Amino acid sequence: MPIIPISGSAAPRGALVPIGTFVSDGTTAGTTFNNIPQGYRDLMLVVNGGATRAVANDHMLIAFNTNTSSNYSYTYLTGDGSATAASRSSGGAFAVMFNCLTGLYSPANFMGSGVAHFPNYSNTTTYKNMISKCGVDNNGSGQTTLTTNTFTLNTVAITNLYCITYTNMIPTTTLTLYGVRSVGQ
Amino acid sequence: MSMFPIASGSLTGSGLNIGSIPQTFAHLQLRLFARSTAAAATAIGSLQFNSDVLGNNYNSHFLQSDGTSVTAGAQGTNTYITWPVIPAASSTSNVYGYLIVDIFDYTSTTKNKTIRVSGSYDANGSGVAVYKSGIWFKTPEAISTINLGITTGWAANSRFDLYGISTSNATGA
Repeated sequence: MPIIPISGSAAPRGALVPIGTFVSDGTTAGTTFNNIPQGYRDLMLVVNGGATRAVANDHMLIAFNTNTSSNYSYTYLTGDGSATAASRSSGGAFAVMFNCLTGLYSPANFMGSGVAHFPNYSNTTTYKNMISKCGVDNNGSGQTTLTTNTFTLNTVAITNLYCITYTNMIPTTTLTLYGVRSVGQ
Repeated sequence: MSMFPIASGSLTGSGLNIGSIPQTFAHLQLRLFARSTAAAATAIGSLQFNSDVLGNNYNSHFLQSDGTSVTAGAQGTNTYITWPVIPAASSTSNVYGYLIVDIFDYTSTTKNKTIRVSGSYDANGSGVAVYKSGIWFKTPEAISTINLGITTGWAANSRFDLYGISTSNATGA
């Protein structure tokens, strides 16, 4: 997909700058945002859509720099409308945006949504985080989840994000990546 | 609704006062990428406004996961709002917490100020995910200063970014 370069100083000075977007045609499980500009403070990924897996709520898997080594960990807080739950895992191959997509068992035209933040993605001295806030509502069932993720293999800057589902995304599913600029950027 | 950068910087010492906040936005969003130097696995910090550091004018509620169970609780009336824990000196190296703090209608002189915090950290075997709401209920006044405190001190590479959320075509820094 085309990547939008960092805005010049004369450009509009809003903090959110679109970097790239992907719209699923239903034939693929994922996409990669390559050549991510390194001049913003944070990255923000917005997901809206569903997947074809035989579940009611599904997830988006994210690999930093296309690295799927077993060095991702997460802690999450979730609720399904009647109860809360907690979970943690280490040694995963991806960071996970839990419950940001509807699944095969969701009603037609129902979409999940989620926002993931990647703070200080371009520094080279700290491990990289991803914090996601996601939800699915299926008109009678649903799931809302806050997840903290960390990638502990290395401290390299994030230059690409590999985003994939377990099966194919449904048509019209969108992923949009923004740069979040700070003062002077 | 648009978002504009107001202020940014490294976190050093044991606190931070963000002053002279422009009164031209609808809401504020504070982002903290931080770690503490406290001799523990985690540390907490405090959030106050307009240097109101003595009055019992704050309260908050939270919903929190530690990876194995969910806890709900309230801080109770206090002289500050605690923000969710961040990693400290004995936590996994190079792991930092990330908090997004939304501060609503901060220029109002008739409303008490409400905040919402989400985030915390994961340290590969330990971690926390937190949603928190809070209120500053001193006689309503516009927020012009945000006061942050941290147990012991900020670790290197800790930083903050403050944004204004606008409903018009305002211009950021």
